[in-house]
Amino acid sequence: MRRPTIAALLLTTCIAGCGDRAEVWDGPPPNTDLPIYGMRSTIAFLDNEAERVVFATPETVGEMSFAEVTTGRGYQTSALSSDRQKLVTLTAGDVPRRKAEDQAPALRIFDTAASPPTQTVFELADALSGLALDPQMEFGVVYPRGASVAFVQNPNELVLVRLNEPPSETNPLPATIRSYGGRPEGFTFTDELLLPGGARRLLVVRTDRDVALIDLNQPEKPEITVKLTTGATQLVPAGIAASDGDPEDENDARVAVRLANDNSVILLDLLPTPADKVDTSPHSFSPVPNIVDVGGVPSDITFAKTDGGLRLLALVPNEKALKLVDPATGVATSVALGAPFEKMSLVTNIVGPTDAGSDVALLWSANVAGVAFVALGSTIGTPYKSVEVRPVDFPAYAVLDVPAPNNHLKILMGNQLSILDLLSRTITPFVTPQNPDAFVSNDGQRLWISASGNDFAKVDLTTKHPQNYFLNQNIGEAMEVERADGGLSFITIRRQGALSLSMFDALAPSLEQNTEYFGILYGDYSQEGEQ
Amino acid sequence: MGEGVPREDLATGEGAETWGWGGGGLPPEEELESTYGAPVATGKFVWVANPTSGRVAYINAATLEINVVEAGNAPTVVAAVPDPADDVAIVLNVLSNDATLFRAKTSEVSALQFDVPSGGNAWAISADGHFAIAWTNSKLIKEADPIDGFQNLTVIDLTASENPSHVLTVGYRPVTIGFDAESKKAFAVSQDGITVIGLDQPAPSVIKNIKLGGGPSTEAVGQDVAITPDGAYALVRSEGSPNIGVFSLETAEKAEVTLSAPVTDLDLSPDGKVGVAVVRDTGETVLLPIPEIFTDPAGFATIPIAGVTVGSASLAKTSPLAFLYTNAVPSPILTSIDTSDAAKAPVFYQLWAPIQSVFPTNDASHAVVIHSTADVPNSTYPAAMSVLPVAADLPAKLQGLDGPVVSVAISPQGHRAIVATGDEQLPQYRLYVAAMPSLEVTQINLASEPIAAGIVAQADRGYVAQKHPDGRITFVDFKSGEVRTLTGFELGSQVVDGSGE
Repeated sequence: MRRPTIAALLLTTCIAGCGDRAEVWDGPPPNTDLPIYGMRSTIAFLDNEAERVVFATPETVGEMSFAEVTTGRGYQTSALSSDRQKLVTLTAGDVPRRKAEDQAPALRIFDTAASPPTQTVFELADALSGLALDPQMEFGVVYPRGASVAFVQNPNELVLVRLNEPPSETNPLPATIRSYGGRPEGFTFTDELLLPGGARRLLVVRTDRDVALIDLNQPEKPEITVKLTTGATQLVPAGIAASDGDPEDENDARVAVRLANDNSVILLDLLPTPADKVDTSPHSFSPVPNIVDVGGVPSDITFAKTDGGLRLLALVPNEKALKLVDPATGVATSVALGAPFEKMSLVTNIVGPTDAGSDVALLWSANVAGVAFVALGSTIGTPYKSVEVRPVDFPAYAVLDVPAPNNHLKILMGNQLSILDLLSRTITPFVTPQNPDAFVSNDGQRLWISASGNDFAKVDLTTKHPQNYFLNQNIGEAMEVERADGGLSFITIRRQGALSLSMFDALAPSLEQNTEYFGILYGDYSQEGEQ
Repeated sequence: MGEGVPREDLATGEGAETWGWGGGGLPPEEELESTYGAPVATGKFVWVANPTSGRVAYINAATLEINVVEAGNAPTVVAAVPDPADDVAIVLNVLSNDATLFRAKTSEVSALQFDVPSGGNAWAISADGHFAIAWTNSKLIKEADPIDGFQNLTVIDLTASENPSHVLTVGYRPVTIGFDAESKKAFAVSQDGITVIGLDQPAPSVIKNIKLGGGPSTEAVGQDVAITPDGAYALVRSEGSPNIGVFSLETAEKAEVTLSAPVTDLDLSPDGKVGVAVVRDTGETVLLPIPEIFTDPAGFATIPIAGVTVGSASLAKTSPLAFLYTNAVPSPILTSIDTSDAAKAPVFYQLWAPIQSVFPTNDASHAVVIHSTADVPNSTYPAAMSVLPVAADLPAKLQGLDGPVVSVAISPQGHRAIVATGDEQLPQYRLYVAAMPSLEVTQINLASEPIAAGIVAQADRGYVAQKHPDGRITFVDFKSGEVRTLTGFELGSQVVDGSGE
């Protein structure tokens, strides 16, 4: 056993505030139920009780460096950027905050592209508990969620943070959405839409009764609220889809709202602000709502191209149908699926469009032992070109994407696991323990499978060949991380004691050549290699 | 402005095995009038009442912006009120026995409330927008008790600041209400005759009632009454009778014009100068000069229509052309005559399916002809339409329709016609847009059953209202062809964008 390399040890706040590491060492046994993120090139342990993040970074096949970075007090939540390079945490600070030196609520960005990770702190005026990140990592939204942290809280208060800009008087930017009795429950960041007045991104805020549109180009403008409930029954928005329409046309962008408790989908046509409101409206566009009855409560919606033009696709499980809605006319055409599919994903970018340039959708469900391909080739006359159902041995509750070069593959997750080849439309089943966990490597070459137990397997996604490994300890989590030397490490984590991990070479895992670290939360980073 | 013609003159031909030119013993020509709980269009707005919510939605047809205003209890029947400057509409609130007058200036809408003690289910509005009459059309009441005469109506002076509403009593079960061109008189055609209402008085009042029948029964059932725009004369046709009664509404005197056989249709030219009577059995069309015919009942001109059965007439608004056809037997031949010159020979147009109804453009340069296909061998279409280029004398464009015709509207400029089709029995809901003079017909699928079609001329758009619990209307931009459907009028008003904050 030898001491690990500690690349960086940053105990700024804790050292200043506490004087030493005694709190970590002398406190009660650490809570191992902490968030752990497998980032692109490091593993982040959010040791909230110790107000720190421990970054464990593989340097070489047998060596890992550790860095500690202090976080704020009063951890609320955290999230990882889609590229897994940035970790964002939200802390409440000292509650109540009695003195100026008491810690303020804050949003922190830990950027692990740098070594050691850099930290950007956005102080917040109020302690809020909810966090939503823009997939493009331009914006973050902080909002009240669940039980109040503060004594008095406005449930419709949002804080918008421009994640790529430094903190300033206008960053973060507080915003309060109009309240008609609801509170924010979900956020959707759209791609850029060409709207009247120019291209812009929107933030769609779902409450339990209405939706609000925030212009992300000018978030200081008041939001546009669309009250969905006009009758006695409160309509609950459950999902959002957005379409830019014709990229050259600024008058045909749309947002669709799926409802949790109604057969309708609400389509919002984003049209120019009426001439008689141009002088008073702060916006150059205005949503014109339309109700489309799709015959049952839809479980998923998305926009897609067909040879008849743009259509909103709505999966309606209780009708065992996919509804194709012409957003211009509201006409809904039904495609019989024969099974209650619940989820869908467009796979056109992988399998290519149909001869008519239409999209292809992949459907699956946690209640259907099969997947379906729907080629949206002909919506006039016959409302579809083909529905091709492929049986699977189990219902899939999730479908994992695979990065290029194997992006034609999808991982079907259920009580077993299979690999679906979108191009050949073949399914490769794997016999696994019940309810396996799995993840795909960043380079799209490997699938890692584990289950509660001591075993894991690596599947070569090109050959589909599985290689099994048996550890002598229980595997909690597993992840693959890029090494500083350019290699790849496969790391398993055990939530016992003060957390320990085992590190393998991801390309050639060897039980003889793995390295183990123990007592991570104690900062001991004891290493034991070549077991 | 611009309301469509819902099922008007949409009759079904029946009773003959072949299309033909037949004669006696035929069923009467059918003239079907229907009223829908439909939207109405003013200059640039379409107004739709929601009896359940007590609100009226008004849609800017140019921007498709929807707004909602409060009305009374159960606003039901909306009517457009002519106004030289503003968009004005009035709605009858049937449960609160009142009416709300909406006046739209840009996006601002003001509302005025009027009592309507008589209640009602229909509106008649004077051409100058001065008077509105709320009345009860018994045809719209299912299984009405025979004792219910629906004789009360309310005349509202829309310009009066005090006592604007006046309840008057007219004859038993009025069937139509009209005005003279100067809004000095109103006329209620009822089973008791024509009740004349004086409007140019300190308070509107009933002046007289003119009986239409000569015998002990004066029932107006089966009678076709046309009143000249100046309110001077009424022309009355009785089903199965060769006589046309010409009544002076000033003196109640009557002149009787006797034609060669029962008159199957009677229409007035828009300027009221000519009455057009069709005598199917003898193949004649008779032009009655007004007012001369009143003093000289024999002084009419007869245009023989040889070789073709004609029983109905359809007149253009700004052209002297009248179109003649029959829907009593399957006949594909359309005839036109010049009502300004009886010496001109009729012109015949060969169409390719039996004619059900004819809708000329205002200038009669084109006509939209609705066909029945029931008697067309081997046709699978439930209906059809032709777009006939009358002025160009070119072949008509025949278009099969996927459902029965519900409503037809033609733009005042005559450059577009829209035809809505489909009902519960044949739920192929479509809107057909015919472009003139190209004769191109575009088919648009509708999401639900159409109720009524119309034109908003200022916005150059057509619309078709459809059945939907939250309200649904589809607009077609005649310039771009763009189609937009708005569903959920109340929801459309629920957008809060921070204007004025």
